[in-house]
Amino acid sequence: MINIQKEINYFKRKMLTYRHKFYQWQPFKITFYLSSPIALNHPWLHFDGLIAHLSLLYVLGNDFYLLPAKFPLSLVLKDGKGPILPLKKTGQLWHASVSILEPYKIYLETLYKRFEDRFCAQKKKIRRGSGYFKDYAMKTPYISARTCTFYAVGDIEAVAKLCTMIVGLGNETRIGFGAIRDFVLEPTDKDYSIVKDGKAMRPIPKRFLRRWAKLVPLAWTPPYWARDRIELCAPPFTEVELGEEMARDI
Amino acid sequence: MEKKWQETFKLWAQNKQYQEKLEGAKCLISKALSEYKCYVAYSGGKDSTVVLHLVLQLNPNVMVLHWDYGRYYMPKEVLEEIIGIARKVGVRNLRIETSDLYKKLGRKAINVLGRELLGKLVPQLYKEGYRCVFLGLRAEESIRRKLRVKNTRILKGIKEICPLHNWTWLDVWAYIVSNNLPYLSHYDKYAQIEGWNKTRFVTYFDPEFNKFGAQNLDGVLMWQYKYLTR
Repeated sequence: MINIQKEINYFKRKMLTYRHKFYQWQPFKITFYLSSPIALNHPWLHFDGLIAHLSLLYVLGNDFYLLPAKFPLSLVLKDGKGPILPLKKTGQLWHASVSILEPYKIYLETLYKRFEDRFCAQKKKIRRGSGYFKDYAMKTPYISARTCTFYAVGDIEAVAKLCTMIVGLGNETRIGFGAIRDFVLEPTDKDYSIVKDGKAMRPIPKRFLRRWAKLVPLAWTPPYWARDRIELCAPPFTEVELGEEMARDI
Repeated sequence: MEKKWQETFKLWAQNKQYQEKLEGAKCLISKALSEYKCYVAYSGGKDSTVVLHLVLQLNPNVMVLHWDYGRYYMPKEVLEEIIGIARKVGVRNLRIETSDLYKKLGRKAINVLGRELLGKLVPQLYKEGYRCVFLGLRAEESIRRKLRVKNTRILKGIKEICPLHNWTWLDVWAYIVSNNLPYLSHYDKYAQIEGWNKTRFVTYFDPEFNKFGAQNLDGVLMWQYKYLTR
């Protein structure tokens, strides 16, 4: 327990050094041009999640890979001095849409997981036909999209700087899925990051809405894998009407 | 289902081999029904729907047992669809059993089927006089199933009979299409990606199948049920 606290304090100190001070919020659209299909285990990607990941990667460098597994560090940074994303926030909602993948056609690939030396330090015969080290086939859905578009409001320069660090989008990037050829950042006239043409562009919790067409339990703020981020939300691309407070700020 | 697949399955239903398998299955069922007090294990999948229809033609009052995996593994909407299909096929005596452990443990409920169904319910059914169960297992599915259907198992005094033991996926779909049977919308959704030959109906977001990437596919196609555990 003491060691975990030490670890957390170490990362906390490092994170607090990273703060953007002068943001110029501007609505923009970012289009990633993909050179290979994108592997996903969810129908969309979240831009705020992506930027949060990149911000941590930027501030922690190689230490990012030593972070305590599956522990949302934002929980220990309750003083509000945590890493601030270069994105606008209204209430607790980041102005960042989910991915719009075009064309959106799902395919299935089978990946073969085989035994590798690093799984086992002991020197003895390994059975790969059965048991713990058994080889197996794993289904991986992928989308053969050419472009992946996000809408957001934020500091264009800071976002562009972070986005240059991305190698690939989605899962299985180490074997070539979701490779990015190029990306283009364009300012837009309006903020389409939360609602566009009456449709939600990201998961929006029920408490921010006046009307909704559908409600589903979804994670709505990064880190999206954390259980405490799950709430009843209007899912992306469904019809919604924002509550007064939210509508005024957009 | 696309028209080309419907036509394919209808044509397959005219095949002599298929007709022979169908006759074989009917003989097996009628023999078992005459010898034992039987029930049908119905999961809602394509194979058990076919077995159910075959058995109901010979005995419309047969008891049909459905095991409910709880709303975390089998969302309410899907369960309602399963029950609706059973009613459409003509089930009169439907019995739905479940375990409180599903509610208590959510998606951490592992091996509950073994403990609750096989450990408690099957002996109870034996006490009630049931001596035979019709299952929709096929040898084609896996080597384990091939061995299971080959060596007819008697579990806690109840004999397992698999009328579709030698059927292929084509035979099953041919039966469904030629008899105009209802089937789960799950198949239409998953078959577009996996193909009609490989699509299986199993519990959603089940850690048991996670290793094989089932959660990846469930996450994309059934995303609305992903966080039901929380």
